[in-house]
Amino acid sequence: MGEDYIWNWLNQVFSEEYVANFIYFLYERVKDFFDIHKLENRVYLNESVFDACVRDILTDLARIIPFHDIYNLNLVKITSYSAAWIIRRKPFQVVQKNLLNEDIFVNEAFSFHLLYQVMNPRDANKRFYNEVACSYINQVVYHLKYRNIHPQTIELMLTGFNLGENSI
Amino acid sequence: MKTPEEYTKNFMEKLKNGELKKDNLPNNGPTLTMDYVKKENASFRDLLQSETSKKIMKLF
Repeated sequence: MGEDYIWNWLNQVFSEEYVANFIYFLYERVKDFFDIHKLENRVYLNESVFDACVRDILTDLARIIPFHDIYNLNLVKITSYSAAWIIRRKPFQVVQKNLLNEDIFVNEAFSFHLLYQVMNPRDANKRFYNEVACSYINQVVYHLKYRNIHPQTIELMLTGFNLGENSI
Repeated sequence: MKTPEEYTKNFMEKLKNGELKKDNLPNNGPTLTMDYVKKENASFRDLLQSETSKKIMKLF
């Protein structure tokens, strides 16, 4: 199955506009992360890997649509699949020999930001160092760094966190 | 137990009568319009520029 077949299929499932909007959605975040955290000279974005990452996220999401008979995916699902595939494909790649710890895990750190925004959609600083939330967040970071990542486990984690947040 | 022929015939009849439809799940997501993308990405940029983001980077 060639690349053309996959992209034609994705355009049919989502529409060409949806695919373009999703690429903008993810790439703008990648660029802002890169610029704001001043990663230049330490890390670079491999665009070929990023392209493959976009393809894999959309292909995985596309399979859900007929299975669940839904046509609009929610942000938790989109974010979970994006975070998981970024950690698997690693579009950010390190260029220098003397590494900082945060450079080794730069893909995981970016993915965590994606998840954190969904955890706290309204207030970026909200209760981050609340004792309970902090313990949970440390566990999530550990999971992203050292465990096998699957979009469905991330989705469940986000849903669980939001349930806890809403019940406080 | 039905024979494979009986089971298949019965299955195809249920399919024809619309008895095998999945329950539709709610359409619970936003449409990914450019306006929506820009609003969500502005919120993401706020997070990246916050003190929280610096704390997050220290966790890695």
